[in-house]
Amino acid sequence: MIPVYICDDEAPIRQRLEQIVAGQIMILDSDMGPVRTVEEPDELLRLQKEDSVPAVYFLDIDFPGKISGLELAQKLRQYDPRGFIVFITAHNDLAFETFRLRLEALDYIVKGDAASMTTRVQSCLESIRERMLSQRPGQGSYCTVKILDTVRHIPTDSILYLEAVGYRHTLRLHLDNELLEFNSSLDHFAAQLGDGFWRCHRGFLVNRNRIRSVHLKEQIVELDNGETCLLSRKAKSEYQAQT
Amino acid sequence: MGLPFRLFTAAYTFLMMSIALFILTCGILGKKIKGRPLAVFCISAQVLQWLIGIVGPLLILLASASDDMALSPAIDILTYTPVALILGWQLAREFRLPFLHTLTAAVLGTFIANTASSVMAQVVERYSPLFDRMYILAFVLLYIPYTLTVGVSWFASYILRRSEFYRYFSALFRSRTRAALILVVSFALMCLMPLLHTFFPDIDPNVAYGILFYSFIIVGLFCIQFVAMYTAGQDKIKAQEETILQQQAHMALLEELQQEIRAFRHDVTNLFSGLTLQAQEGDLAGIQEFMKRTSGYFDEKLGNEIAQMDGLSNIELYPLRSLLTTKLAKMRQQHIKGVLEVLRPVSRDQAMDADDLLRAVGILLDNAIEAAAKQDGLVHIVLLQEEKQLYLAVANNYDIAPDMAALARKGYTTKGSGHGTGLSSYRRIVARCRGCAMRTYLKDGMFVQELHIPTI
Repeated sequence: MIPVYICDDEAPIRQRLEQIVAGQIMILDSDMGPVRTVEEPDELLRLQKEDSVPAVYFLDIDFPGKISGLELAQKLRQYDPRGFIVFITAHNDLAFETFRLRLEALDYIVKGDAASMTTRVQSCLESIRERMLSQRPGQGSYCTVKILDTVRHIPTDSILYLEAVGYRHTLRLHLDNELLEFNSSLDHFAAQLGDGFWRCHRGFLVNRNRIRSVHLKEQIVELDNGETCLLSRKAKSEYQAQT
Repeated sequence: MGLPFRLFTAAYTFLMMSIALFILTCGILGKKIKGRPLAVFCISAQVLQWLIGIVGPLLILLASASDDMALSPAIDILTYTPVALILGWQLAREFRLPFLHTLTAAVLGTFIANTASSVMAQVVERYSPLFDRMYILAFVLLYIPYTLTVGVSWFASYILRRSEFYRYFSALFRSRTRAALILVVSFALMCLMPLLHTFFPDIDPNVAYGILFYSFIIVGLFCIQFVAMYTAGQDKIKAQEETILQQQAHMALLEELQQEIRAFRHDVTNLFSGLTLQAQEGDLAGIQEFMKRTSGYFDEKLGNEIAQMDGLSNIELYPLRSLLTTKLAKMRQQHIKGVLEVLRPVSRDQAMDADDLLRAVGILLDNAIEAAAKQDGLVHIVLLQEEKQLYLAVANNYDIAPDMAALARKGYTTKGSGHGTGLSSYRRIVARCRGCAMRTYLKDGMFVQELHIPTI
């Protein structure tokens, strides 16, 4: 079950949203619930730790005199990096790109008449269900990457290879449809990722599951998306000894 | 004089020269002198000099050079060059500067250090009383001048750093030919003294000769400084012109907003006079209908411009603000919708150098503008100041999805050959900044470039 939280300081909005969400979960017949409503952000942070993650959060964008929805979401993300965040806002002119890109927020719901809120909630829950289903087969291991004060959990399957670039301590992580460049060392990741990865060169760490072929003559390793890594002489002789 | 003493004396002079060289090169590059790199350099230079001191003469003897006099300058040049190379390489890694800069600085530093040491030697020789004991002679001829050289180098380095010489110096590397020229000139200066000794071995260095010689050197250095300052001045003028253009763009945005507000005011007056009529007639349904129609009107008309202004005013880093203003104006010209979101004030203290930050953001924005879809182009710019970092994201929609596998390759571009240098220089800039991280991905039909910069 995926817990659902609604956090808003206005009681009527809270109640109405709870009704809508509970109703939609029933209709969709998905394994979400229980739906809990919270008034205080601090209370939500406490509750979050008592139940499982990932969870679904409907958050008000501002709590007058308390922390902003942005900060609340950032705190929630620290504990639940894969959770689903939906914002509730009174205005249409919300700076949503910030929330979508920085916090990977799913959507936002404008407080207003019940009909439009219902359709919005419905589309949110549907896309959550879709994402959960598509994630299920990849429920394998995760690789933890810390960039400044943000921690990301990357499914190991989606990693193609890691590459040490240019200057010392700069690492480039090649994922499906994503490139990540940050300060770290290959040795650190070689230790974290274990046997599933192969150090085929001093500057390359390759996901064994993503290798299409090893070209011994050209001394390169080809990956399943056509990218290539270098193969060192040492790794080559290792490889030949194994096969 | 015993052999150990001779060896120690040689080691001491090598050490002093290495320290002087390191200090001077750091001064030229405008960096603080750090202990660890200094120690590493001293040790490696010491080893190298001993190696060359032993191997060099043997090699030349094997090559059967008959003239003994030709030996010493050749060995000198043979020593200076690898030492300068090592220092250049080491500093390039340490300070993450281009190797060409550090190498030229090292070569120039060698020249200055040598000049300083020979001046010191002459001065000391001239003004010290004569002794007949060998130890004291060695002391006078070698220890004092070389120690003084370090002091002089430190002083020169201090002046260079204070006068921000590196700003002028780096201006010399703008074009490739100029960079090559300055490297050759520095190298020639470095070889000047050993060569002079070869060609005019008989000249007895006296004061008049010394003054003439050093005045040449000083004139040469002045020329370098002058050329550098001239170039830097040109750059400054260019930068100012750019600022003026950016401010003009800002003014244009303000004027446009003013025009639209005037039009809006006109509209609103008209609409409300209609509304008043309806209210007088008690047409409640009509009024509700009107409310529904006009509630989004203001946002639709002015929302984006106002959001842009709000966002811009949150950026305290003024050059960044004007850069964004210019780029937003460019987007308006090309009918690309630019959305800027800056929720919190952006602090001025970023770990990335301000010039680098501007160049990085400029490259990202130019790329986004160029890659945005031809019809209904859309560019999102998000800046979010957090406690420990500045989060920056530039996203654009596209006609053809970029190939993420190819993106990592050097010189990737969708525009044919000759393009694609932007992204690789962007990478270089980011790699230079310690703790910075970048992320590139596709999400919901947008191509997103993220940059995380630590805040001091």
